[in-house]
Amino acid sequence: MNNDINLITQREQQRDIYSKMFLATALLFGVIFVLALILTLYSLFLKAEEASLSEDVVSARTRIAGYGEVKQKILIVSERVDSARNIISKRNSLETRTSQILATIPDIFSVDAIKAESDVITVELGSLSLLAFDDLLETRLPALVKDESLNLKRIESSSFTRAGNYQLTLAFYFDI
Amino acid sequence: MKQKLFQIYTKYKKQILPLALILLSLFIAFRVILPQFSLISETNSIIENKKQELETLNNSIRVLETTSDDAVSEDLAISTNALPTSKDVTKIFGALSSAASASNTELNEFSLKIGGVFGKEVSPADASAIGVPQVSVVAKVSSSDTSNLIQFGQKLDQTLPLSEIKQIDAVGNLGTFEIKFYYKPIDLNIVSKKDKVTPLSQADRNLLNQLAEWNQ
Repeated sequence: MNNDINLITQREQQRDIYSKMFLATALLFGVIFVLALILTLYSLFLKAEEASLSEDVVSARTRIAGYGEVKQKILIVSERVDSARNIISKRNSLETRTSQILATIPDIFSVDAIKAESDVITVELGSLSLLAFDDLLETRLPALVKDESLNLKRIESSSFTRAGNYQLTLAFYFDI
Repeated sequence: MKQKLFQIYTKYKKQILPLALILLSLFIAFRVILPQFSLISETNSIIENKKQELETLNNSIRVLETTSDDAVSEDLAISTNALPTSKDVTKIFGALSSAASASNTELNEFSLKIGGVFGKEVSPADASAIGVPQVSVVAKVSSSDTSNLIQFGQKLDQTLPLSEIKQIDAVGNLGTFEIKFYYKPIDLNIVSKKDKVTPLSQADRNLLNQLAEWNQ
């Protein structure tokens, strides 16, 4: 019976809704305002830090400018050392490869001509002994091919003639 | 009309303030909060870059403070002997003569293809695959022993200025060598703009020592 009696008037109910709505929006506004304030202050703090760092950078640059000559020398040396390393590492070492080939040829041979380029080295050999050629072609050259440091691709014999002594032209091809 | 507006105001006056607060909140959110987020992110990134730049500059200052002018001048002399600043004919002749003397060969003649004489950029004829300009030299060397001719090339490899033999043509006791001598001009404009100075690594130091040995 008591539950059916409504003591709060409709107007008071509406006023309560309005005040709750007002409180909610005021709270929302307050939160957003405080957030905006915090973010603005933080942003200003960061700007100040950025300005201070910029000043430090300018000051450091000024100090470096005081060492102008030494700085230039160090930079030039570094640059040149890098270039020198690059050159040395990429040199084709033509003379080293030629020297390794000549080292495998016994003294019984005369080396009549050498033509060396980056991918092929041609050697003209002469000897009076045919046995020496056998030894060279069957033992020494196969051993040379096994030397992986040479990057030898193949060996070709372009001519074998007899004009007084025996003459052999060998072409050594390399992987480059 | 005025009366009608007053009636509307009276009817909705309690909703106006919450509505105004909501609109104001939206305005603050879109005009203040959101731009601040992007500004903060941008400023943080700038600060991070500045900190790195400052650290690099401070490291450079430390390197400059601890480097002796005499030591760096010596390094500069070695490195410019290895890579002269221009097509230095005297140094090229010196290297050829020195290699000939060390390999018991005789330098009969040599010729240079000078190429570009002046220009702000390296002429295409002087450009190399490595990116360091070079000058072409043909040297004729003689020796009674063919192996000495090859040794001439090996000695030249260990002589400054740095060079690379592109072709060897040896017949009898005469050898013709096509050689590229490297050089590297200094661009002070680029060098003076750089502020990052790093100390030489141990590998750099070892290479300089090797170049110094070849310089003797």
